[in-house]
Order: sequence, then structure tokens, then C-alpha cells
Amino acid sequence: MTRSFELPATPSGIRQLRLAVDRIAAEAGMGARSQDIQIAISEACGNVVVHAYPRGEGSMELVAVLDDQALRIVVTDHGTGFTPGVRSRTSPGLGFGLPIIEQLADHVALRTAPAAGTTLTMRFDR
Amino acid sequence: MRTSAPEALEVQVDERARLRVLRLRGEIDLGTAAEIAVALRDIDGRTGLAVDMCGVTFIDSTGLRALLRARYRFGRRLWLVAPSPCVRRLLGLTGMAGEFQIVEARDRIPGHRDR
Repeated sequence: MTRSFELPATPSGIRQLRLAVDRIAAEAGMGARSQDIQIAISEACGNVVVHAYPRGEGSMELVAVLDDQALRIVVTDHGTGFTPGVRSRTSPGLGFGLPIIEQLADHVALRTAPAAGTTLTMRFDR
Repeated sequence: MRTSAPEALEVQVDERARLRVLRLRGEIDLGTAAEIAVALRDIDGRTGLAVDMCGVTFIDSTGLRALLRARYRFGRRLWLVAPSPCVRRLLGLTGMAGEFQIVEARDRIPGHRDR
């Protein structure tokens, strides 16, 4: 099962995506991990809203793929991208987002580069 | 008592003599955390501040950032009261629990036992 969502990269969109994936997790019997999945999505989408489009608006895309083994969440933006491990001195965040996600998800893959957008894949095993 | 009630987060400020009580109910994320900053703006940093968090149903690092800002401003005059499980979870994940004075009830705050 695959469900896709695309919303403007705004703070209110984060909650919509959390709730949408929460429904998917509940239907899959993954309610015990629901809180962790929601935190991870909120961190991932929060990074898009805060960092991806410093010069204007853009979108955030979330794809949820559910199979027998796991729920995979892929969050994508087409924004500025970044160099992993290098924090901007002007970043308004605390830098907790990715470390939190890495603790909550069973596997995390990040693909990004300056001016190339970002794709973050999080896997939550069933 | 002052109240602001955005869609997903309810913020109430209860003004008492030496202790302000900030009650948070609902979800704290990038969409709602600014409501906390707005409420704190009107509170004198020289008073005590108890943040009642038993009704928080969701919090991410944006909410943690709001709490750390309050910690920076109020110092040892800030207490987190009855943090809900999701708050405790995030504090544990980030290793930030030691940054806050946490009590299970407001009357456990030294010098502020309710009459």
C-alpha cells in the first residue's frame, strides 16, 4: 500500500501529514509506535518548512509505503538542500531533528546536496 | 486568567502572587509553539513560572526549543509540572531532562504550596 501527499511547506501542513500517517499506522496495527512515528514526521517536515525554501514558497511531499515488514515514510522537498553534518550559523533550529529521527526509526537514509533538494527515508519495522 | 486557543494548542496563564502558571493542552509543534512565546512575553521573568504540561498530547523539538527559551529566561524559577508521557519521551530522547526542574504537582514547588 502506498499513499502520497503533497502540501505547501507550511507549519499547518506538518500536523496534517502527522495525522494522515497516524491513520495509516493505526490501520496497520502499529499503534504502539504511533507517537514515535509522529515525532519523526514532525521533525522531518519541520526541517523542510524551516530550511528548504529560504527565498520563497515550496512544497513538501510525503509518501507512505506499507508492506508486510515495515512502514516507510519518504519526505521530499525540492529546495536548497544542504551539506549533512554542517549546520548553518543562521539556522533557527536546535539541530535535534535528525538525531531524534535516527533514534526513533529503524533505518534512516538521507539524500541531499546544495541546490538539489532533500529526500529523507525513514523505516519503521512492524 | 488569560486564554488563547488556537486550533491544536490551548494556552492559559494563571496569574498568582509569586508564581505564574502556564497551562498547555494539546499539540506543540512548529505551527503552535509561537503561542507559548506570546504568552511568556507578558510574564515578568522575575516571578516563578510553573508550566503545567499534563495535557500536552504531542511535542517535538520546536516545543523543546520553547521550553529551553523559558529555561534561559526564568532559570531556577521555572518548573515543569506533571509532564505528560510524550513530553517525558522527548526529554529522554534529547537528553534534556536534566535541564529542567520537574515536579509531579504544583504544590511540590518549594514555597508555593496551594492553600
